[in-house]
Amino acid sequence: MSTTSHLETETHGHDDHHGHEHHKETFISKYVFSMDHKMISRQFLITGIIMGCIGVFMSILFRLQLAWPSESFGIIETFLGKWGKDGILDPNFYLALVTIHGTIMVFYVLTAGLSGTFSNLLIPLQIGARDMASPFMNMLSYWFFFLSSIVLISSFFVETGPASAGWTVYPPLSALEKAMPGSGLGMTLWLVAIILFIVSSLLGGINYISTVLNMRTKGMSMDRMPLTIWSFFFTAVLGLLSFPVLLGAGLFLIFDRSFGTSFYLSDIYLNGIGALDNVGGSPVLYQHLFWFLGHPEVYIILMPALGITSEVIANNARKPIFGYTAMVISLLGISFLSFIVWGHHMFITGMNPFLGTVFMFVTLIIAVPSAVKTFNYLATLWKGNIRFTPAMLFAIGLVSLFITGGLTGIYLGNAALDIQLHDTYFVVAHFHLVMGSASIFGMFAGIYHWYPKMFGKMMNNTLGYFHFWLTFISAYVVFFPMHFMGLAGVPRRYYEFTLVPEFGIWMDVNVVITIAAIVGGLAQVFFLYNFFVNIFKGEKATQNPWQSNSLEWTTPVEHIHGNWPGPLPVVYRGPYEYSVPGRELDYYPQNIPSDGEDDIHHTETVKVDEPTIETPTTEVDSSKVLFASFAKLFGLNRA
Amino acid sequence: MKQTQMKTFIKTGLMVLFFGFVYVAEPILELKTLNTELQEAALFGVGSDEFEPFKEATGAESLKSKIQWALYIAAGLLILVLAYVFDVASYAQKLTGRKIADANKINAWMLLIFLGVGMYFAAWEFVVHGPETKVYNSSSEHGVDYDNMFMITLIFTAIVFVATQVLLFVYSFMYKKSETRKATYYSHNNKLEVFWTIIPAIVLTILVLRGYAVWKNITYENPNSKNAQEIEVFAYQFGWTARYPGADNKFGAHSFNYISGTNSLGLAVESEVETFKEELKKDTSDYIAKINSIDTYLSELNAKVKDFKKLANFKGVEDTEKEIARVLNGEYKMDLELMLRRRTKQLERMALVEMNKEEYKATFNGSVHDDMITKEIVVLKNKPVKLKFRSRDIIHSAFLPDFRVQMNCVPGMNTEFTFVPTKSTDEIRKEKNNEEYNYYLYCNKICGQAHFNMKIKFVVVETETEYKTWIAAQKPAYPMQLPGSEKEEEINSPVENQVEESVVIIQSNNKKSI
Ligand code: HEM
Ligand SMILES: [Cu+2]
Ligand SMILES: [Cu+2]
Repeated sequence: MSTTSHLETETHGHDDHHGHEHHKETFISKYVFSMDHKMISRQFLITGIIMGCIGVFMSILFRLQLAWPSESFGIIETFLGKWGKDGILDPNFYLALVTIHGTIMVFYVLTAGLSGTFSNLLIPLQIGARDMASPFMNMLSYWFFFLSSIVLISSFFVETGPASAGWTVYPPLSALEKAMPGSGLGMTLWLVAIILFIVSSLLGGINYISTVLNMRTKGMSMDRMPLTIWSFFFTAVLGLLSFPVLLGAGLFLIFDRSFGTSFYLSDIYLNGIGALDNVGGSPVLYQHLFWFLGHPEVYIILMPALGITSEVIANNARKPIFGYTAMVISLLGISFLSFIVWGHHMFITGMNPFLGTVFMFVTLIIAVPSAVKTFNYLATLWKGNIRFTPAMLFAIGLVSLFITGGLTGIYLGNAALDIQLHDTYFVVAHFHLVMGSASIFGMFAGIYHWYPKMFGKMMNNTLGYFHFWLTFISAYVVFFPMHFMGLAGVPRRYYEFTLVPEFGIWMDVNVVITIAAIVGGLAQVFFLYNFFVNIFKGEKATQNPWQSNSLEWTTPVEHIHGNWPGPLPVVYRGPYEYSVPGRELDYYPQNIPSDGEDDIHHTETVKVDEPTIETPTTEVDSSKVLFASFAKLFGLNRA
Repeated sequence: MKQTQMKTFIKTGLMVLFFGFVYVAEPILELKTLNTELQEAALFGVGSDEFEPFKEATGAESLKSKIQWALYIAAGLLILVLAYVFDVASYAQKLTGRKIADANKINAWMLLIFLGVGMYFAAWEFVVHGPETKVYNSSSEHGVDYDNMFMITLIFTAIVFVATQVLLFVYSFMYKKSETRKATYYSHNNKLEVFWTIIPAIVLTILVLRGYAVWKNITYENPNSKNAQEIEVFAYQFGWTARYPGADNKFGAHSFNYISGTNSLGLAVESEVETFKEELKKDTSDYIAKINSIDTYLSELNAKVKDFKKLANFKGVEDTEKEIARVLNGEYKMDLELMLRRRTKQLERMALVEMNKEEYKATFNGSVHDDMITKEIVVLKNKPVKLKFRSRDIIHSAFLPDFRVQMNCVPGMNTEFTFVPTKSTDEIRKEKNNEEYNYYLYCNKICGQAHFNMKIKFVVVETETEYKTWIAAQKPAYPMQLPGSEKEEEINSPVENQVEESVVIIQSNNKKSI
């Protein structure tokens, strides 16, 4: 691995021309085709934020239609042109907006924007590596993601509009060009975008896994990894195992659309065409393949947010995370179970109802590790000394939203209850709370917490507080009432609720929701301003602004290639040793040897000999055994 | 640095909001002329029970929306002012060196207040919107089990919800930072962790076992499945039709191959199928002819372009040139060949049935002739009914929320749902105190532009006689034809009619002028 650093380049770099391994950094190699994981993580984050703005803006456009059906809004005509003639949203385009909103939020913001950003930033920094295992693949991963975003957005400019079959793009609707305008070229572009996206996330995932397994610094045994790293690791494993299945599903769909195969099509008569010649396929097959990815995907979204929350809560409560081992085991349990519960999305799709029973059993089991995580967060707060930074507030918000949204999962996982709730606003409420809002909150927590590391500047706290409170309140006001609508049988993906007069009673609720959504959207201005302006104008960050234990805060504030100017730090203890009894400072960085008391600024003085293994509590517990065997399983314990 | 930043932000924000405010201020002044009730409904629509969404005049409607816009802007202003005040506090703190506002304390208190207010509103939602949700108000037999299951889950989750949220916010408040205290070093407690793993596991086991019993009885072990009255429900973009089996209690066979303009369900009616076959054959030869005469078509198009040019019909020129391009790049031919292949394959599939004598007999066994096609579904109270679902084109979902019934309709696949309606339409009307209330079956799977507008009326009648009268009034769609008799008058293409209807509805909903 190259350890070429800034320092070197600055001191004697400008007068050599060639013949040395280190190359001069140009604008392009530093900011565009960068192979430095820190730069790549910023690229992921900023692209994710831009996509997020687009996604939220779309949701506000269609929320206008839901609150004031067929009312004319200038803003709709301005932005949507022929799809918003006279300021009225076209029903086909309503579906297009919903579809692209869902796709952007799920894949582009919360998969790439969240896991891509923080895996890239934190994996090397927190395990003490100089970069990713393959910086080049890492760079490709970003550029595939970028290309994919461009393709997706470009589908807005095709004549028949973007994909409109819902973010799940079920065939036959998505397979037949004549079934809806959005299933034309727009759908093709959607599929191309998703395939590029899958390539990106596979390249990233392989990298994250091999980096975590192989490149931990001395002393960083697996049981000393921060929970963030565990969560990124499991997330990458999930992605690696499930995205290829989506790739398969997507390719079959492309074949059905363009090459006349019949994977998903059978016995179809289309108005204006007549009977199609496809026989023998099954639309339900697609749903199995899609949800085989789709369910792990929701954990791919959520787990990094949970990992970030663990770190932020422990750090700001100044306490060890409660039940580190249990936290890891529940992540492991969630990861494993998430592969066998996909059928809970399909109870009433015509799948054999007996299978439904099986999926119901496993689905409700997955609630147990989720509950354990929640209780452990609560126990971590108990008797802490809590500092409410904006990051901490967002982390607490995440726990609250995770509880609210998680509990409604118990209804939806129950096959019997799902009969009524499937595809209603209850589902919209559920996944927006547990997956949408909770993960977005995790992402904000991460941004506020690691901004000093990413940009070397501090964010403004006051703006952060306003951002948090407005977002938190509006998240609940937007999504909580939707539960009741869903229970009354109000279907999702409806352009307006004039079908039956019964829906009329929800009109006023819809208005309130839309107002809250707009306030929530405006609240993001606080964030955007805070984020972008402080990159240039913020106060300079200090070395370890949150008095944190983990290794990323031992690197210089100014980014350098290879992360540490001297030798790599050596790790002497777990990452959550906060408020250790008998110590004056309330934190105990991982890289400080036990005897070298309290001197945090001397990374160079680290001894390179074998770390002494510390057991702060007398109980030598089963967790050690578990980790040892886990490491053996991979044959990779480097401690 | 921090200070100036905040100020710039606030100044810019205030300016934008000020102009926005001026823009919408005008209708607010007009508000005085409205009666107070409407104002209330417009501003605080939520609580007002008598709010009637469909009866407001459009003028008031658009005014209302402007008022709401004004409200957001006002909210925005308020936020900015707060931001300003907040920052003034920290500014003053810097000047005087005294702590005026401790952000940590303020946030801790805000969390506590949020908990209180949030819980209040959650409870308020249950009280106000809970009754609208149909829970404990279902109109079917299994709906009662469903509602019990729901209530058990609700009780359990509500307890957990309140307990965990209270702990979360109260802990956050109680253990806010204090200079005099150090956090307790407490990293794990295996007994406690086992305890809170096992408790949820037990509760979830209870829920899952009950859920299993309910689900099983609704689906694969439904006791009524054998003796239920069967009705076929047919979905298409964008509407539904129902088919009753008639006196013989047997549905005639059907196939998507037989679907034609006059046989929208694709029933195995010999005469229909024969004429349809002729049509298909004619289609086939037409396509072949077209494929063979592409050159003539091209010269025709070229001539047309010239004519249009003479008439200065630019739209015509443009369209024809597009078509010429399609012909030249081979797309035109490919499309024709695709259509030709579709028709040929379809004829082949139809021929296969005819070649196999057994199958042919089973298909065209005559039981189709008393089948009735209807535009509403009528069933008898307290009698088990089995809805058998079919879809013509893409996936739809038949959703009857009043009955806790939902099942997807999948092309090429048979799905069904058996249940017992226990409340007649008259009863529900009385209960809701609404003479116009109707049960509907609507579509709950995204299916295209009129998805939101795809429904069929579902009627539950009180007595056997009512049901019989209704059934007697329905005519078979394809009665057995006596040799030599004239064909029945056109009653049998409800599908096409409805398609048109729903399109009209969409257009009127959009207030679109074409
Ligand atoms: C400003 C905040 C947001 C608002 C107001 C909002 C609103 C909505 C609404 C009302 C729908 C349902 C529309 C319908 O079914 O007709 C929807 C769909 C969806 N939203 Fe959001 N949403 C927001 C943020 C998010 C976030 C953060 C996520 C991240 C997971 C997300 C993911 C989705 C998905 C996956 C769908 C389903 C799309 C589909 O039905 O195909 N949304 N959103
Ligand atoms: Cu799932
Ligand atoms: Cu539909």
